[in-house]
Formats: sequence, structure tokens, C-alpha cells
Amino acid sequence: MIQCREVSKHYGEFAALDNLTFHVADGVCALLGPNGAGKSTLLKILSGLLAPDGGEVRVAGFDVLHDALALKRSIGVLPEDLGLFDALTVEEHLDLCGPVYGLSRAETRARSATLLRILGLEKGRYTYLDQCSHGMRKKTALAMALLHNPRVLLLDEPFEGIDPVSSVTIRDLLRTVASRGIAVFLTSHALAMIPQLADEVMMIRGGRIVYHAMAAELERPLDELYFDLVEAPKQEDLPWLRFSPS
Amino acid sequence: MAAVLAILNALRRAAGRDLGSLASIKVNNLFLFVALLAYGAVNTGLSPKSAYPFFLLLGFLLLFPLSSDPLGRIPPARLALWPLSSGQRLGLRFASLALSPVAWIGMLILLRTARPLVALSFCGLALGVQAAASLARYAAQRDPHWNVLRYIPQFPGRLGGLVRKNVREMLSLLDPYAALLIAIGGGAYRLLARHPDPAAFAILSLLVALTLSTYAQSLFGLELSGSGMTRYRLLPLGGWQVLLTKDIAFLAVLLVWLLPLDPAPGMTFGLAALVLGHHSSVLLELPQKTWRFTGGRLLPVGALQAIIGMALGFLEHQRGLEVLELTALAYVTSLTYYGRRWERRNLRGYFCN
Repeated sequence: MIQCREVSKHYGEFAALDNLTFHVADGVCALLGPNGAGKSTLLKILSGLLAPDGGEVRVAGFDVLHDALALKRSIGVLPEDLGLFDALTVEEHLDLCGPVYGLSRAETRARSATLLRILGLEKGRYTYLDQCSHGMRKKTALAMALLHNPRVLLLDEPFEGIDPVSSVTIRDLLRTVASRGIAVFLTSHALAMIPQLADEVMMIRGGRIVYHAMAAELERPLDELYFDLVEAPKQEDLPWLRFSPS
Repeated sequence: MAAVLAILNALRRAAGRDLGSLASIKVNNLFLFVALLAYGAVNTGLSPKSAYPFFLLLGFLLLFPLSSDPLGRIPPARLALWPLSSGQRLGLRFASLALSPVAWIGMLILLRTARPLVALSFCGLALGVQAAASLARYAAQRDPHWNVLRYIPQFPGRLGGLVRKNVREMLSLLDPYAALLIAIGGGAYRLLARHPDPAAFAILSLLVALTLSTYAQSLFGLELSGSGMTRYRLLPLGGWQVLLTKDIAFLAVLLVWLLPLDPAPGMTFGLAALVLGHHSSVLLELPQKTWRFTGGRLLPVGALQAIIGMALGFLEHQRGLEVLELTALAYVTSLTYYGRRWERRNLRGYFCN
């Protein structure tokens, strides 16, 4: 469903992606890595937001550079910056998106009502985005990604800033849609969530894939693998942080 | 004391930046027109009386951003969390008032006129304007139904949602309100004058279009700092469709404003402004701030918009609708060409954060 061959992206001297080659089939694939590892850059390239410097990328059978419009119709994206408009309410974002993807007004309304209910956005449906919490904004962007029945879902940090109940709801929802043949490619820092969600796990560091395996075949607990292969936790102390009675 | 001074110092910097954002008016087509009007009068030894109503109009609208509370620049939660005593908070409240441009203008009026009542009246007016704006903001935050922009309906068709959003965005700038006040003035003249001069409506119509024309230079200006550009690039739309949603919003507001006047010359000007404005909207990044006048580029786009727009508008008034039709043809060509440029620019990731 997602194919990358020798994909690279540089920002000046800095190599954000360094000759990546991988293939992801159906199911849920989780891309893990520290901040600045290249996760969001890769997601931008997969969703056609950024052109790679070199290499070939195909998503849902479409070349991201040459079939841009067909690609956009086939994917649902939760981008890093969420891609929302402050001048619209939560519900109006969905009203805007449905017709653009060819849904009728009635169908848009029906699907919106379901999404707002499932994601716990019903109460805030009339709230303007600039007055929404980060979690509400993220859920709105997620609802926009799910509205039009995409073939591939590309989600940048879907669990970040989301309350625990909604996180579990979203996790179960993603598992369900994956079982119906929709491919899900997501980035995350929520290591605890991944084993129950992902079929495939990839780890990226310094723009290179350092690990790629099926989740069922992980030889050790995920966090152990991550700390070994990607980055170990820092042990430094902050000596001024102590209670002093004076 | 050190804590209060540090906060005041930060506020001073923030106030300076905020004041800088008001400078966008210097490159606004209406302001340039008024400045030229005044310059022409002064150059010929006359008093620039014809420019006074426009200066008054611009000054009144600028009172909204100018009169905002300087202390409001600090997020309320942050201010509440700082370990300041009640005395320090009171001192901060009073000292911050010195950072308000309204206080400086009031002081200037006092020094120039030596009439405290005039200065106090000005400060009172600014306070009233700010109280009304704050009340409206508070009501809209408490209950979204009080937000009047909410009642702008979704336009029909596939792109209707985007057009609605664009109309709302446009109405969060000061230019449309300046144009609206001119249109209301023209409407009142039509209703109240005994024998209104029909030629006046064409001129007023061009003036309304001129007032809105700077916005056509920077159609994406309000979205450059947010995440809206990402959404445009994710939607399965061609570049010309994205531009079209912006243009429909601009032309819809212009048409409604022109209804009490003579719409055809103003619409001709509006289309010409879009033809020229597509270039800067797509290829230059001119970020805008809400509740400010739009700041454009004086040369060449602003000057060309004013000259060509006025010329075509007058021509339409003299020759009839074929001038409007020809301008519409030029508009379609510009839409197609700059739509492609928009796509090419986006693919290279120019708008990517």
C-alpha cells in the first residue's frame, strides 16, 4: 500500500531522510522515533505535502509527485500542524470537507454526526477552532481524515494530547478500519499503545530506518527495543530542584 | 519592583510590535489614495478638506486595535500565575496604561489644543469603542450564537464551505468595514438627497472597490501563519479551484457592498484588482493580521490596481457592460495561469512549515 524507494530529503546540509527504502502492506504500521528523526517529513512526503529530493514514493498505487489529485482523493491525513481554519467551527470543518470529496450534504451530515459522537466532539461542535483545546483540534482533524472513506490513513501523532478514553476509542477505531482493508500508517511516541494497535513497527533515527518488523515478531518488549536501537533515556540530574525549608 | 519592570519591558516590546502591525495601512490602496488627495491639495496651496472625511473614517476604524488593553497582551493564566503582590499588580495595571497609544494620542491632543475636554473626549470615545468590542468578544466566546459571522451561510456547491470560510476571514480585516461605511454613505445620499447626481454612484462604487482592492493582493495573507495552507494542499482541488474560492468570497462581499450604488463599474474594478492581485497572492507572501488594514505592495501591484481598475471602471460606466465582460475574460485567464503556478509552488513545498 505504501512503497518508498531510495527516498531522501535534505534541508540545506541536514539530511532529514537518508535514502529510505521500505514497503508497507495493509494493516496498521507504526513509525517510531525521537523528535527530529524525520517522521513528520516522511509523512509529509507520503501525503504529497512535500516533494522528496530523490527517490520514488507510491501510496495507494499513486505516485505522489505525478498523480497528486488522485492521491489526495484516496488518503485521509492527520497532518502535524492539523490543517485547520480558525474562522470555522468544529462542525463546519466537516461540512466543508464532505462536498469537496464528493459526498452529498445529507451524507456529510450523517457521517459528521457519527464522528462527532464517537470522538466526543458533540458538545463543542459549534466552537470556533481558535477557542478549542489542543485535544479538540486534534480530534477535529482526525474526523476530517476519516470522513470520506480513504484507502490509506496517514496520521501524525494521533494520540498526542488526547484524553485516555478517546485514545482507547481511537485505537479501537483504527483497528476496526484496518480490519476492513484500510491501511493505517501512523507516527507515535505512545509506546504503550503500539503493541495493541500495530501490525508492523518501524523505527527511524537520523533519517534512517533502524528497525522494521511485524509486531507479532518483536523479539523483546517494544520499549526495550526502542531504548536500545533509537535512544536511551538521559540520566542527568537537576540539582537545584530540592525542598529547602528556608 | 524588578519583577514589575521586567513585565513592563516585555509589554513595551509587545506594544512596539503591535504598533508595527498597524503600519500595514501605509501600503493600503485606500490610504494611498487619501494621501495623494491630501498631497495634491497641499501642493496647490489648498487645505486638504476633501481628504478629511477619509482620515476620519480611517482613524475611527483604527481606534479598535489602538484602544486595546496593553495588559491584555499577557495571557491571563500566565499573569495570574506570576508571584506578584496586590500592590505590584495595581502598579502594573496603572503603568501599563502608559503603553496605550490612546494615552499618547490623548496627550498629544492636550498639548496641541490645550483643551483637556477634547483630549478626554477622545479617550472616552476610545474607551467606548474598546468596551463595545470587548463586550462583543465576550458574548461570542460565551455563546457562539452571538458571533454574527456565524450567520454567513454555507455557499452552494462543492466549494461552498471554503467560500464561507473565506468570507468570514475577509470580514475579520478592517478594509471591508471602511468600504461598507463608504457604501452606506452612498446609500444614504441616494435615499436622502432630493436630486442625487447619478455619476456620483459610479465614483463611489469605484471608491468602494478601491478600498477592498488591497485584500486582492494577499488572498492567503491571513492563513500564512496558521495551518490552513496545509489543508488547502491536502484537499483534492486544483490550484484554480482554491483561488476561485478566494475570489468568489471577495466578489460576493464587493457585490453586496455595491448594491446601493452602481455595481457594474465597481465589479469591473474588482475583477481587475483580482487579475493583478493573483500574482502577489500566489507568488509573494504578504502575511496579514486580523482587525488591521490589509498591507499590500505599493509598487507595482497596488499602483497598477488603482490605475487600471479606475480606468476600466470609468470605461465601463461610459461604454457599458462589454468592458466588464472583457475584464472577466482577463480574470479567467489569470485564474487558470495562477492556479497552475499555485500548484507548482505548493509541490515544491514553499508553504510547508
